Amino acid sequence: MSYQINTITPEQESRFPEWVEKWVNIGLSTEPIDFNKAKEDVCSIYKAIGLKTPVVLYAQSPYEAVVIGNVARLYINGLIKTGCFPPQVASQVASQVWSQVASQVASQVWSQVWSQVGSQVGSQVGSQVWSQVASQVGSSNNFTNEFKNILKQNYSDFRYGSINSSWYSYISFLRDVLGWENNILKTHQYNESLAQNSLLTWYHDNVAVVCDRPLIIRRNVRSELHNESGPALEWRSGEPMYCINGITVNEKIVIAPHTQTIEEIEAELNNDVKSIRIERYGWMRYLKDIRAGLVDKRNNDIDNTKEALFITPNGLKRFIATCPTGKLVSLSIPNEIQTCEQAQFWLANDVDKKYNVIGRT
Amino acid sequence: MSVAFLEELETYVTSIRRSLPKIGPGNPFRFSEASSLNDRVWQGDLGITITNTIPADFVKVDKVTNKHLQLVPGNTIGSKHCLTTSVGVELWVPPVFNDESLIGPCIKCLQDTSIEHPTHGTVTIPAGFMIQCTYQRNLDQIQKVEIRARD
Repeated sequence: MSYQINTITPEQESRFPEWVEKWVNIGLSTEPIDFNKAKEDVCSIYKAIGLKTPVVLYAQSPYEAVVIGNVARLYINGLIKTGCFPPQVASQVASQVWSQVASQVASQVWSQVWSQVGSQVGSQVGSQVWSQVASQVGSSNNFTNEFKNILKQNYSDFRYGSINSSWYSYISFLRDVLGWENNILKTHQYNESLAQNSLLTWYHDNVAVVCDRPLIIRRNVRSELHNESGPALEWRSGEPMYCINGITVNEKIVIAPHTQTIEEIEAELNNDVKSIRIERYGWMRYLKDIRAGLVDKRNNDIDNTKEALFITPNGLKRFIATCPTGKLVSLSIPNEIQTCEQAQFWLANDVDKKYNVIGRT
Repeated sequence: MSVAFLEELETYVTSIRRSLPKIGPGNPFRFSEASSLNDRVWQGDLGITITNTIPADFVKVDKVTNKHLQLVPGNTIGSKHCLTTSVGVELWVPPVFNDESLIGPCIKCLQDTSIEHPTHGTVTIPAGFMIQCTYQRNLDQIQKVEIRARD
């Protein structure tokens, strides 16, 4: 029978906070998973989409999941073509949602439940985890080039569990509170159950690796991964992830920032990381150590920033500016630049002053 | 003198962090419907510029999908400048698009379109406008490439 959900009652709306709390807690849990339960869910998913029962393995970090999964694949089958678990269940659910729940109702649940859970779990913790795996795969020097290439090809074949709790909060709210019914939910329930019992799962056609939750997650008030005295996230395998205000940095920047050298700071190519490096080293100490002299300063009323141009004894120019996000940044500038205004035009690749900057955020 | 000005900068940054009026962190920005050609807003190091021209060598993306939403190459948090939806946008990409690019996608917005970032404010482009993405120059990166080329 075809039907559409068109309204949300005040009673239903009043349950938004409950849903957000429940799924944020799931997304940020550091309790160990029940692997046997997770294994059952994985097997149910494979059965539901017509695949044979896979070998289900356990990993303590996403990177470990990729490595273990690929080793198992090679062991069982040798090199085989990519045939990972298709994300078809999610896409089928999504299409059913859009057709059976009026768009404004779906949007309301999306903005009140999905986005609030997502902003605390997926966009902060999830994206950092993803970056770490990509980086680890890229720099995994313990393996042969052949195996590294395999890792690069399929490291992203993850199906997110608790790390994607926003999705499950959204669908379960539609189902449990708004009364949405659909046959596809039978299959979805295995994913939802798995989400409550795994961080994520690396899938392939005959191997699945369930990844346990982290041991430690530390965040700042904006929900960004953050710890100024140790790992912001630590896997059960002991692998740490160091982050300052959501930016991934190395251990030294967190644990012993005073031992950084000027050479290390100046060699940093990522401006966000460089800003953190100098802040933790000490801006005063940094300017003193590079023996910087002030060349120009100004209030940039359009960008709403304050800027200064410094020169070191060996002629290097450093443009230091405030950022609307509350950071100071230090940027290298060519020697011929004499003013803060020229520095901004050089950075913008607009020395002809063709463009009208009307704001910065 | 330089120390005094640095103290001034640090005071200013502190005021931003405390979200004092007018200079709160990550304030959203919406281009006005009266925006002109070449008007530009910086969302961190992503320049978003009103344009009416698609560079000749750009390639139109037949079907804009989630993988096209991120407008800055890379896996770092700083590179997560993302369109909020693939619906209602037409998108052209440069022939070479990597972390050394200074020019990025060109986007025609058929409906109001927003670009989000984890720390910077959301930038909204009204329906009917076309934008060009550009990136801030990085001298250290340029010199590194030049050194690599010389090696």
